[in-house]
Amino acid sequence: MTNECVGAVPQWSPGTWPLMPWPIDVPVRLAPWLIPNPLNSGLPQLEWDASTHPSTARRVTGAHVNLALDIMGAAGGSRGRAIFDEPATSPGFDRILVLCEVGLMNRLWGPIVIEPARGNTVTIRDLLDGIHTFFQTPLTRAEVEHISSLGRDNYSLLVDAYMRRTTDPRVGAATGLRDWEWRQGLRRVDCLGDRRWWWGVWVTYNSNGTWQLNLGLVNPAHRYT
Amino acid sequence: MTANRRPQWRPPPSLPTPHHRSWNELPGTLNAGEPSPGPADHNENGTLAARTPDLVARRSPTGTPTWAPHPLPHPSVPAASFWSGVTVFGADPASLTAATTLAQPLNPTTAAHLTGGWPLPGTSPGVHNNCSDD
Repeated sequence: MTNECVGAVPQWSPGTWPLMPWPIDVPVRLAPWLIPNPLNSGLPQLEWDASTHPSTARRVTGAHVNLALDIMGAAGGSRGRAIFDEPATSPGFDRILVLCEVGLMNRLWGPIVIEPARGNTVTIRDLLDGIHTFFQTPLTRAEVEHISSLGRDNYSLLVDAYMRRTTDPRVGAATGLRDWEWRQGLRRVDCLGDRRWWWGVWVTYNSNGTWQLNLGLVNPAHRYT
Repeated sequence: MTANRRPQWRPPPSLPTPHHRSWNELPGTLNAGEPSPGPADHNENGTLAARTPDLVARRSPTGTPTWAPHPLPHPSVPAASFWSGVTVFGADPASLTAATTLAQPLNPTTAAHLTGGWPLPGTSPGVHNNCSDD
């Protein structure tokens, strides 16, 4: 078996001539479905609104077919496993810190700590569940007041995001949870505004010898193609 | 007359093909610019041996780590433009500084570390069109 064609997990080359194998012998390898799309930066490989449950996430295949992540085999998993159950990194870790752009609130909230629900390796399901849980945390009154003090329009932006989220058909009328969701009030995800959609994750190594995952969220309406 | 006999269904055999392996068990390639570590790093079936996690990789950041914007999120759009947008509280000054100062070419090793071993966003020439079965 060569390295050229390995089923659903392609081996890319960086576009040079002669073709050079891309180095993948790195300290932390990422699952190929989690990275920003190497073919089209404006088309994330996962279609997921972080304000919705990870079960709504879909993988966009090379043929532009959307597949649920819990479908075994066809969506890209192996050994009868769905993508959801594939390890998020190689080697596997039992604790991953994820950072996302939440501005100055990062100092209050800290990073997203991902730990496996089962076993000792963080899977893609653990990663998405952890991100979703983090952003579903309700905002406290003190946090809302702090956010409002940071900018004149902040409170109205928060409320606007909250209203749009709670009237979204996917979490509103279509699921019958609109009133329930409405009563839950503001959540952290409302601080993201329209930038709630998965773009990808990447690794950075810090000067003190540690590493972290960085989460990119985008607004698909302002997509660069 | 012989009765129509349908072939009996049999479960698919468990083959050691790439489709039956997890993504982290697939054959890998090594950095062409680095010396090959030799056959000791490969199993008999050609896959990369399980890598012993580095101490660096095992440790998590301490203190208050900050989000690091992707320095090359698009082949032609600068990082500062790509990551600019409306947030409720405004971006952390450290993130803004990083987004505007890191938009420069990365050497292949640094880029591979950033992407987790894969190509940068939007830079792949579409090799997968000939390989992927999607």
